Amino acid sequence: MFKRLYTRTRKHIVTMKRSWIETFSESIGLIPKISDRPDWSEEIIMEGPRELYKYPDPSEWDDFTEMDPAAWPEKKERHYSIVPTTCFNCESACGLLAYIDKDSNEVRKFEGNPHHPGSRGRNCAKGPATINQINDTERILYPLKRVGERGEGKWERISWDQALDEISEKIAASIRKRKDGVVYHVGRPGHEGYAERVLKAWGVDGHNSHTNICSAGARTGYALWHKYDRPSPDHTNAEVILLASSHLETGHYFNPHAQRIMEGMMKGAKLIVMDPRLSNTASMADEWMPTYPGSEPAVFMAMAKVILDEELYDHHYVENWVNWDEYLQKLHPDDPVEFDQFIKRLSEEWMEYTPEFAAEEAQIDAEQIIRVARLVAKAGSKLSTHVWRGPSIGNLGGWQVSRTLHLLNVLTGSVGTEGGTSPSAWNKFHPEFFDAPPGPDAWNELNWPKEYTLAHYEMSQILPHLLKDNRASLDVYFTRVFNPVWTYPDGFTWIEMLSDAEKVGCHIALTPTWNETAFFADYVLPMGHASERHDINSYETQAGIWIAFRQPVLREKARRDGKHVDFTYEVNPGEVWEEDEFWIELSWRIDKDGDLGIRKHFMSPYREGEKINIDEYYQYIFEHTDGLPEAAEKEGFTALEYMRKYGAFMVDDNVYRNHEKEVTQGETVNSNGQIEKNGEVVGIQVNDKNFSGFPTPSRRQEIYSQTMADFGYPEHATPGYRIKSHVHLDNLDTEKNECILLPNFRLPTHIHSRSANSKWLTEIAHRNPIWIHTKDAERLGLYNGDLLKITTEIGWFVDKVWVTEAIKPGVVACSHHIGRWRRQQDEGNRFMTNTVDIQQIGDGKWKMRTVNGIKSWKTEDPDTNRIWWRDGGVHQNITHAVNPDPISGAHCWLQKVSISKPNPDELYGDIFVDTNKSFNHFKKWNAWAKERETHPDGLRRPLWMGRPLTPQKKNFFL
Amino acid sequence: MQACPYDALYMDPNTNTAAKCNYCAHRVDTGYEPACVIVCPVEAIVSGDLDDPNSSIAQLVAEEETMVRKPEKGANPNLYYINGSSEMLNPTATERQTDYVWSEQSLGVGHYAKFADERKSEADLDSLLVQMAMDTHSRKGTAFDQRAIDNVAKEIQQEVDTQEARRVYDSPSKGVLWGWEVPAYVWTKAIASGTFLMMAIWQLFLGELSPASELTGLIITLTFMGFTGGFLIKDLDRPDRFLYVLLRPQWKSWLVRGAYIITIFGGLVSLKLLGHFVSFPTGWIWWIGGVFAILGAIYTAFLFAQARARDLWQTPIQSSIHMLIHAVMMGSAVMMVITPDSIGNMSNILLTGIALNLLTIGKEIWMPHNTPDTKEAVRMMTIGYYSKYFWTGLLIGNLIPFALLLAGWQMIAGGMIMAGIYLTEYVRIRVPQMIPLS
Repeated sequence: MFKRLYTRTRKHIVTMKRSWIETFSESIGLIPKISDRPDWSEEIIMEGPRELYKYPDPSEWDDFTEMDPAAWPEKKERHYSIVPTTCFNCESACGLLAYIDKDSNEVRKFEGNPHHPGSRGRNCAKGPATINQINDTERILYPLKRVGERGEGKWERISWDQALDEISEKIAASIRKRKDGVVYHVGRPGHEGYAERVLKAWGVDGHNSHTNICSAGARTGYALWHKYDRPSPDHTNAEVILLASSHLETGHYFNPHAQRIMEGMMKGAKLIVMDPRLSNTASMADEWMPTYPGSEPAVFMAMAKVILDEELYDHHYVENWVNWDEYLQKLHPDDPVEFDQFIKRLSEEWMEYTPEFAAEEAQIDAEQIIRVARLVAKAGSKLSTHVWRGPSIGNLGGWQVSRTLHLLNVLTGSVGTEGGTSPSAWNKFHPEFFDAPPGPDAWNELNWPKEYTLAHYEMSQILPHLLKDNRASLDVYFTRVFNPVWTYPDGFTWIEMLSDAEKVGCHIALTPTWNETAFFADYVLPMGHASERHDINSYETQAGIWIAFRQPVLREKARRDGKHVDFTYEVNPGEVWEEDEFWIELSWRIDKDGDLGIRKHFMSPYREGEKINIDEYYQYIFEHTDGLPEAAEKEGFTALEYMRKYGAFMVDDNVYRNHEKEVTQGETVNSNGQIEKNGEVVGIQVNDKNFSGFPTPSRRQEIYSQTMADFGYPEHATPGYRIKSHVHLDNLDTEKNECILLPNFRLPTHIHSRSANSKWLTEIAHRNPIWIHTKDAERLGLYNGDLLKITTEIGWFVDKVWVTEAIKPGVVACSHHIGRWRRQQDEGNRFMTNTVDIQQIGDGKWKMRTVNGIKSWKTEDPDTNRIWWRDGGVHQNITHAVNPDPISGAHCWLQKVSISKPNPDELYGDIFVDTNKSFNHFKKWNAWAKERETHPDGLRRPLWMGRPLTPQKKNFFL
Repeated sequence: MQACPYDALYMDPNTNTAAKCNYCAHRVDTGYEPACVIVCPVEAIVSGDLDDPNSSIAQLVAEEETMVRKPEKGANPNLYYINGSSEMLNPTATERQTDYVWSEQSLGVGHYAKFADERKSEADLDSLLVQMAMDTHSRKGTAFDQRAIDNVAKEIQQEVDTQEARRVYDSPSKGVLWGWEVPAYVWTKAIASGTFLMMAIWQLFLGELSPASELTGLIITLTFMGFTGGFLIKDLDRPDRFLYVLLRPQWKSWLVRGAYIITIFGGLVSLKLLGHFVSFPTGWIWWIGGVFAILGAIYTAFLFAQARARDLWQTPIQSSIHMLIHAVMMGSAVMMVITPDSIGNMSNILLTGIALNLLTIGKEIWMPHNTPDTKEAVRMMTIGYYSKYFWTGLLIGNLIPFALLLAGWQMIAGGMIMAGIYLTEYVRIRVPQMIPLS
């Protein structure tokens, strides 16, 4: 293929042979002269075969030469300054290299950063598409303040000074009154504690997140085992990879995980995928288990039973690292505390979980369950498993999914092993800050309502319902790259909440681009995209710990050019700020006189008595990162310079068996092996060795959870399948065409509402038809492309159908990444938004109709005039009822719906919702939590379980 | 564009010139792997030196079972698929649809998106497979073409066993690249070359042209040559670069050879015309002009054959005979008008022409060469959507004129023959373009 290989020295230049006709025509000016161009194909001389480079060498990053592809075959050199940063689309924070043209000082493209340990130079489509986002002709460039009523769509441009002054005054006024009136609501933080530190400095319990519509179900199940609330599978070294997700195509850490799943598979690992939808991942699986939604814990329990019955479990691990003694003592107090007795009791307990029972629940083959169970057992300590959202966020009791999945890791002894599944926190970096304010002396009842004692975490999905229930109000509410009106269920209730100044005193949207929530803000403040902001990132993508640096690349470029930059907005387009600097400036102004004690948390650690700047903030963290200063010094850099140059650092590339870290400071050892110090259990003794163990009350993996028993759920003290999903077949009337709407699967090329302003990504995917099985379509007389009306418990929407055999019969599915809208008075995201008309047609009754689809328009970017797609999909989430799980607090995404053909006057994209119905629906689900509400010792939630922005201990008690 | 069996070329909307993936030549030539290779999360694309047996790509190709796309085209592609399947690689193995699961391509994409303003933009617009037949008219979405596109799409779908694999994503089809301009150009060229050829034959072998008849004939020839050139230029996306065809000649291309043929032919005809006003010997021009008339009539068959992507066109000899017959028939029809003396002879030539024409068409239909695309094209012509054009062409261009000629209604027959030939060329040029390549 490469007959000619490359030398970068120009040996000799010849011109291509041209006909005399051409030469003559050029000479008399009939056609432009191009025949004098050198023929580079002749010039390139064979050096002998060799491998091609993948990436520019870091030594060339200050001045990298690449040929202009558009000018090809003319060899027009482009000179780049290459600056690393990280992607800001999904949470993975994969490495990017910004190629900054040295002539124009503009970023021309983004490619992968080979020095990033998670992504290793590779990216999904969303990474390189960052260039679309920064060049979006419709992005917000200046601070805006509402004119007229909230949501009216009228704005005036204001100065940042005005914005900072007005907002800081409101915050100061609130803080002087109370410590729970200011809330920062974040989509994906991606900043390793930056905002939490700010909130602590303000002394407010004001952190709210999106966790309860995302990973809360899985987190609860994992936390019950070992406090750590997420899995970190070591796919690379696994023998069996068991996913209740679609990680080869989407999902958290999709790019880093997909790489490693493939590596594992190339080395012979078997892939097992559980999903009612034939995802791209399922299509690559050795075993696809299309389980009926909600039945997954039954299948995992049946697999556990097979492993137990056939004695395939890791005897040594279970005996030493599981709190089976507590299991016996609490559940069978008369039994001898012996391991064999535990196994006997467990067999009795699991009697009901036969493969046949699970097969019936899951509507799959019992033989497959047995086969997969044996496969899983054979993997032993090399079993990597993963669930993040999928079934665990779909179902009532979805937390049972991760709890029973992790049970398989426990039985096979694959917790924290090579090729196994580690706790997330082992593989995540925890920065050391220059200043650590104490936790807030407050408890925010809106984020942490007391009936949700075990929630993981903030009950963000019912915030508007709690406000409607008159539980409290908000003085200042920040939404930060966060779009609940569109992303969350029951968006009309969010619109009602945001429109009500009594409930939300002031709403500030921090966002790079317009979104449905920002339409209902008082202030819209433009914040930078991936290459226009600082953050540090670290994620559990592998059996190691890395740290990555998101940085404003033009600021670094300016520094390389010897220019001094004080604030990132100086190099950003328009007046786009970065949040880090915004929080410092805002905090400084809140504490105008210094009497609130806030300013002292923003003082430079390097310059006595002066306000910290953002370089110093990161300098401090990097100087206190294990091994980083030393690695930097080897190259003659400071830690900060190293991170600016390479963008990432591997803190530890080999993290296994952290629970077996030896503890030396132990004092007393209890009979069950627990090591106590100052009345607290700090470790565990196993085979006469003192280990740190797991951060649970027992320091072991907890197959028996005293916490569950104490907090009012004794029947859930052990893993099992005891809660049937709200969409279990028992709860559906199939005669009335009731079925499940599976609304929570992702597309590889989008990320919720963040990617709408990327033209490349939108071109690939811009519609979201309803997947319906061929049999179901036949029954309803539907053909591909026909309209279908989906009636939820609070409203309905009309979408087109995609008739397919790739979805389980009785389940209809719709991806929620699409269906963005704007009203006629709104701006932004024209690549992906339908123009809609929203009408309130009575008390709580809302109607939305698509006025027109996507249209092309003329700008300086010729592509906006080439938009060929017209279909912008349908917004389904706004018709979903909120289903807060009483235990995990998760929003159970699966919707009980009935499907029918729409009436002739119900058009594609039509939406109707009754928010009074949705409030009543909330009350029904909320009552389930209240019925079981238990506060042992007056505790709001277990002290040992995680909680973001942990308040001071006394606030945990009612 | 028509030559690539893989549909790899496209019109760059910024430059309006043809473009394709060049395997990141600008990177490879300076020693870096193509961008698609390094970005892929799962390293699904392997690049390297196939001539180096130690390279990882050479070893993979040697050890793994691989597939290539359309090996029958003889293009010897160097792109190998491991774990490939017919559904993934063969565009006719799965059905083509209006809208795919995540994208809606019904209004045309890429190059044609610049016509977005001219099209309707309602989100609920009924789906159309406009991209399948995106000629000048359907770019504007006229009802007539939309109907044609829909019907053709349905026919293609019926051919596919829908129980098999389902197409979920698709690369957008570029549609019909050669719209009405190309059959129009073939048709006017046949009139021009045929007229001159028949004048030469008449003058040299059968009779004598009056100066007035000759003048009329030459003017007709030049006029239609003018139309031919006009259509050729109109068909270019960059008409300003028409001169490049002549002045930056790529001699292997029949486009260039043809352009020179018709330029020389036009020059000869002009010279002959000049002979009417300036006295110099012009009799020799009948001979040499006749040769160029024949070349001009048939070269397009070789040009079409260079469009390797279109199976139906891969019969240059047969097609050139066919085109020559068309030219002779149309020339004869013109001759009847300009030289009434010739009616008897021309009528006989037309009768023979019709017979030969039918024979050629019959050969194409009943003995097509054995590729699925050819068969599909023939099916579409004879019983599919285009059958009405095809059979109408056969009827009014051949069968009815045959009867009329026998009945002595030569003039009407001549006119009908000319109309029929346009329909035949229209169908023959359009139908192969309706078959998806990728």
